[in-house]
Amino acid sequence: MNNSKYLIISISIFILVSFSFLALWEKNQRQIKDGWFLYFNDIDSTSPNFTIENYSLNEDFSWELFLDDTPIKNETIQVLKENKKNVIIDQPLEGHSIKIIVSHSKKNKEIYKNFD
Amino acid sequence: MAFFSEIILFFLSLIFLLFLPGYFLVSAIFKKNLNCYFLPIETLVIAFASSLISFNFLIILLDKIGFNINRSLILISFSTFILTTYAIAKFSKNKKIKDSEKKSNLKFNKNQTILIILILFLTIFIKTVYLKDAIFPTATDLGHHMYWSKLISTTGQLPDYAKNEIVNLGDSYQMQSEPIADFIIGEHLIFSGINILTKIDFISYFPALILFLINIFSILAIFILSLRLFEPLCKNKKNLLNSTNLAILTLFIIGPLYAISSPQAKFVSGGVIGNLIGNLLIPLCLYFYFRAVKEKNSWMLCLGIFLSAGMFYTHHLSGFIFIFIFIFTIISFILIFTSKAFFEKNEHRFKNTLHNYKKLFQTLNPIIFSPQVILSIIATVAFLFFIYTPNYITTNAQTTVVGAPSKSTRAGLTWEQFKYATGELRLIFGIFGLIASIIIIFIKKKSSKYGAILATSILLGWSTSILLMTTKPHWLHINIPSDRIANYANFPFLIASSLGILILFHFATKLKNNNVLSFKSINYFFILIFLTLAFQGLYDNAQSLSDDAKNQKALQTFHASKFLSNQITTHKISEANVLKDHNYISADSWIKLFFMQDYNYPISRGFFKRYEDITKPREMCTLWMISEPSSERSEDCFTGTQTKFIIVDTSVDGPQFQANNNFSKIYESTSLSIFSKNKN
Repeated sequence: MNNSKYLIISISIFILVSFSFLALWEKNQRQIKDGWFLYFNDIDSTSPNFTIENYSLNEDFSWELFLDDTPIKNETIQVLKENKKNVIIDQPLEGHSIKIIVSHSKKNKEIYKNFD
Repeated sequence: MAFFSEIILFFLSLIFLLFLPGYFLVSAIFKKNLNCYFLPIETLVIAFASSLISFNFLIILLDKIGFNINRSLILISFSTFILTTYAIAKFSKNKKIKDSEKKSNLKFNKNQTILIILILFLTIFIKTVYLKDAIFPTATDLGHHMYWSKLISTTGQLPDYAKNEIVNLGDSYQMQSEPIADFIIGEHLIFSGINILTKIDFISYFPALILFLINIFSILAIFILSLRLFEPLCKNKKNLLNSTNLAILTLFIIGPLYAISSPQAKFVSGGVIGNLIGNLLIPLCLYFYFRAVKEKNSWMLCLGIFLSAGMFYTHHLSGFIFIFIFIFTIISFILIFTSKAFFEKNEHRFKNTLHNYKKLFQTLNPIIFSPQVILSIIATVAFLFFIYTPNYITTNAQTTVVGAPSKSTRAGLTWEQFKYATGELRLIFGIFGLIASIIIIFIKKKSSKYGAILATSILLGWSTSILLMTTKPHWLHINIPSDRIANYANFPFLIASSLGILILFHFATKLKNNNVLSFKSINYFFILIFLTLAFQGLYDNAQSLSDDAKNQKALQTFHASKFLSNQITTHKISEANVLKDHNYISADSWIKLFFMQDYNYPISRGFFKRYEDITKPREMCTLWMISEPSSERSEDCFTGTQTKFIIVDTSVDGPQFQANNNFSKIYESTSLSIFSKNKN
C-alpha cells in the first residue's frame, strides 16, 4: 500500500472519530439541566388548568389561583425531576381574569388570562 | 443503540451522497487512467465536491421532471447514477494518455506522509474542541437555512423563495408575499437529502457536521491546489523548495494554525453555508482550469465548468468573486506572458511576442473547442434557461451589487483592517511569495512554458482581485459589504505566504552553505518565524474559543416553540401570527422550524440598529408591537398583521405586556414568556 492510501485511511478515521464524538456530545446537550416551566393546558378557552414541568432538583411546588386578583385556591404539589404534572381545577370560574402563581425555591412564576 | 444506528446511517448516507456519485463520475471520465491523473487524496477531494454538485443538479432536474423528492427517489436515482457511471468506467474503451498528460512524479515520501497525517490530526482535533461548544444548533444563519431544507424535505418539492413581509398601506398594515434573493437552492439540497435518507432531525448535530465536512475538504482542496500550482514553479524535487514541501507548509498554516478563525470553524458554527461551499469550490475550479491549460486536457476544463456552474447554483457572492478572480488571473497572465516574451530575446521582440501568442492560441484551441467542452457549456446554459434559474437572477438581485458603494460598510476596508482580516504574517509573507514567484518566472528560462506563468498568474490574480474588491470597491464598481469579501482573502495569501517562507528558508540555507550566516543564526531566525506564526495562529484560535454554552438557553426557546406550535395546531388557529424578539432570545431563528408556515413566521423584532438604518428603511411594526404594545400605532400593527402570540424575554420585555390588560400570559419558563393578545 502506498503512502497516499495511509493518508486516506487516516483522514477517514479522524473524521469518523471526530464526528461521532461531536454527535454524541450534542445528543447529551439536548437535556434541560435546570429550571421549570409553567403553562396553561388550553390557551384558547377560559380554563385555568395548567401544567408544571420540572427539571430542577427541588421537587416541591406550591400554587395559588386568583380570580379577579382574589385568591380562591392554593395547594402544594410534588413534581419529580424531568416530569410534568397537569393541575386540573374542577370548579366553574366566572370573572374578568384568572391568575396562577407558582412558587418554587423562593422563586415565583405566574401565568394569567384576561377575559376583557 | 438507537444513537449508534443513527450515526452509522448518517455516515452511510454521507458516503452514498457525498462520495460515490462524484467518485464514479470522475472514474467514468478518466476511466482506468484515473490514478494516472490524480493522487488518491486528489480523487477524494474531487469526488466530494463533484458529488455535492451532482446531487444538486440531479435533484433540480428530477424536480423539474415532476418527481416528488423522497427517500425512494433519492435511493433509486442515485443508485442508477452510480451504476451507470460505474459501467461507463468499467466497460468503455480506455483512452491512451498523451505524453503531455502523463502522470506527474508527484508523491509523498514516508516522512512527508507522517507529517501530513499529524497536521490533519491536529487540524481536526482543534476544530473538534472548538465545535463541541458550538455543535448544538443555535446559529442564526443556520436556522434560517434549515427552514428551507426542512421545507424541501416535508413538501418533496423545491421551494419558492418568498416570505411574508409587513407592508404599510397608508394608515393600515398587511402581510404580503415578497420574493427573496438571498437564498440559493444549492445551499439547502444536501441537508434535505441527508435528512430524507436518515430521518435525523434538522435541530441536531447533522447540519453543523456537514458544514464541518465541507470545511475539512476545502482545506484539502487548498492543499491539492498548492501541490499542483507549485509543481511547475519548483521542479527540483531534491531541493527543499519543491511542491510537496510547499503544499505541506500551506496545509500546516491553513490547518492547525488558523483552524478556527473566519472563514473556518467559526463559519461552521455560524452556519455560513454559502461561503463554506464557495471556499471549497473556488480552489477546485482554479485547480481544474489550471490543469486543463497546463496538461492540455479538455476533460479537466469540463470538470472546471461543471464545478463553476455548481458554484453559481450555490452561492452568488462566491460566484461573483470568482468572476473577478478569473478576470484578474487572465490580466495577470497577459501581463506576465507578454513581458516574458518581450524581454526574452533582444532581437525581434514584437515578432517573438506575437509568435508566442500564436503558439498559445494553437495550444488552447483544441482544449476549448473540444466536443466535450462545447457540450458542457451548452448543457450549463440550457440548464440555466430551461431547467432552473437561480432566484438571484429572477429577482434581478445582481444589479444591486454593481454600482457605487451605498453604505460606509461597503466603501472598502482600510489597509489596517485588511491586514487584520487576512492575518499580518500571512499578508507579509504572501506579498513576499508573490513577488518571489514573479522573479522566478523571469529568472528561469524553462518557466516560459504556460504552467509556471499560469500558476503565478492565478496566485497574483486571486490575491489582487480580492485585495482590490475589499479595499477599493469603487474602482471596480461593486457594492458589497467589504468585510464579507475580506473573508476570501485568507486562502490566496496563505498559499503565497508558504512560498514566501520556504523561499526565505531556501536562500538562508544557501547563505549558510556559503558561510555568510552561521548555522545557529539561521536556526534561531526560523524558530522565531515559526513561533511567531504559530503564536499568531493559535492566539487567533484561542480568541475564538468560547466557554459560554448556549444550549440551555436554546433549549428554553425550543420548549416554548414546541408548546406554542402544539397549541396552534390543536386549536387550528394557524391564521394567527406569532411575533418573537431577535435581540434577547437565543436560537430564535430556529423557531420557524417548529411551525413551518412561512420563512417569516414568526415575524421578528430585529436588531434595533436596523430600524435606524436610513439607507434601508424598513417596517416598524415588529419594533412597536414589542417595545410599546399599548400604543395606538402598535394596535394598528396587531390588527393588520393578525399577530396574536408574542414570545419575549420575561425580564426585558415582559413588563410592558404585563401592564396591559389586553394581553394574557400563557407560558413562562426561566427566561421566556409567551403572551397572547385577547380578542377585541
